Amino acid sequence: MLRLFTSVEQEMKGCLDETDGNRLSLGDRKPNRFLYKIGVFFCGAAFVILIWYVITQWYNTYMAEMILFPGPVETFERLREFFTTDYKIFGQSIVDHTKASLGRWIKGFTIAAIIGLSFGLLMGSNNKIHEFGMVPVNILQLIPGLAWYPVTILLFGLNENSAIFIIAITVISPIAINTANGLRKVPKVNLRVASMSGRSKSDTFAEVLIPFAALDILSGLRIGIANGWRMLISAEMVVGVALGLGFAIHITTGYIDYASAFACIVIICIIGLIIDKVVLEVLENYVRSKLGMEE
Amino acid sequence: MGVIDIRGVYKAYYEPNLNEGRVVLKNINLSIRENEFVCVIGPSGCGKTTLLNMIAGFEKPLKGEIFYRDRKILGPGPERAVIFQEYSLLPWMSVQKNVEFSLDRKKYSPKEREKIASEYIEKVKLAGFENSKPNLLSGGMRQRVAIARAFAMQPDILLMDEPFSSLDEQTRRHLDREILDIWKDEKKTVVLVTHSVEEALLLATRIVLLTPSPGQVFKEWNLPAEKESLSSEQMTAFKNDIIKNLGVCACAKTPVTIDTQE
Repeated sequence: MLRLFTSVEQEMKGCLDETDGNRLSLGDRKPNRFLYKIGVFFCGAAFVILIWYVITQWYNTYMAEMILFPGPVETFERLREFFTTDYKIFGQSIVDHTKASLGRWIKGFTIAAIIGLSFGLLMGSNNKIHEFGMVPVNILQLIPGLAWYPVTILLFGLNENSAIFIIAITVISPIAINTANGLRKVPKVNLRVASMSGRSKSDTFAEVLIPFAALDILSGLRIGIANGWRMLISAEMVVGVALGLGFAIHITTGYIDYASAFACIVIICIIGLIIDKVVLEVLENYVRSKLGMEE
Repeated sequence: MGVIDIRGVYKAYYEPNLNEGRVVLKNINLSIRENEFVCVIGPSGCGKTTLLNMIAGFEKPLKGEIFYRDRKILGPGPERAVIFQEYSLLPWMSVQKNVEFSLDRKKYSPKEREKIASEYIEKVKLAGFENSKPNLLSGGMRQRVAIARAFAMQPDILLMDEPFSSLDEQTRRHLDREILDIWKDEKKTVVLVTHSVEEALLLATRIVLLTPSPGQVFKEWNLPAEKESLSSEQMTAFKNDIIKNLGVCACAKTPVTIDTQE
């Protein structure tokens, strides 16, 4: 039995007759939440693809003059060609474009995480620094990533460092803000417990402040990593460096190779999903259970 | 000289909305002697908790001084353990680890800390729950862990800020008894802030009544340490007197000036 749609309550009800104590051992009757979630995900994804298909049909029937709108079938067919034939976009295979984007993303995010975390920890540990530090952080937050175009061109010229700069500069503020907020949210009473027990400042920081703030810090990193990915694709479209998924979308659209552009979008989407849903969500749930904060 | 000497202490809080300071404690003079169980009672907002926080060293007086055995209190210290009103356990630590957390690491080896913690967990009747996380415990059990944590520190003086106010009546009575037992067992000096006259009567050897804001010492009662029953004639007389005075001091429109050294 898959037990996809049964609730825990139903299963416990089923166990009632088998016990006389206060324990209902569900054993293998546990509802399969994991498969259920995957099922829900695929239903949602199927819905998006259906809408896409409807739009394709409608456009190609009533609006198309020269160029057809690539539907799911054409796009996934192109995706298959990307990986099975030596299909090149601007002289580079899709794997190279993806690798280039991932590399920039990791570099930009790492730089931002180091700066954002240290800034956030500093702001979270002192009120005066927080008041002062929030000003530059807010200014950073208010400037849209691509508006850094002139700055980055001036600093780094037309090369890959420009894209990395744009990611880093937009990712710093959510990480810094969440880290600082997490530290400032730690209940006063727990800090008082530490100080009455004679714990040193550094012990209190490591044993009380950081664990309490861990989830906020993690969610800051999660927002940062997602923002960075989005920013990277747009940055690559503008700071044309002849390599990367953003550039690939830009150039294939220019060549009227829409199916390839759409296939690149699908790749971006899948990578984002894997990072957010698989890596970060699992990590967050793990930390949550470690901290004794699960619902 | 007492264990704690409070001399001419004033405390005021700034209220930004009104741009004025509000005096919560006014000229408090109080000496807490060895092995005393002092209950501070008074209408809500009279600064009871503030007074306790200042003894603990979490807050500083605006004027005046507080001494712990003739040393001025400048901050919190392990000789003054606190049991807090609110939930104060670290949620990711087991019961055992929470109790161990408060123990001095320079003084005790990990083995010793483990032993002391287990001993006090047993004293508050939580044996068997050592490895449970606090989120699986009831409110009463959590507060018991906090009691074990405070007593395990082997403090000179124990400060309690309405420790059981969020618990139901029955659990509360139960924990009061347990506190009383451990107190008799360990011979400690205790200051308990409460708004329950009954609780004060049950536990205290001295009751201090504060007036409403700004809080001043209104009246004090010395009680016998051994009480057979709260319904005895003597205790009923105390109770009636305290309730009468509580009413008088709550209705006082102008700040009352009384000689505190009765």
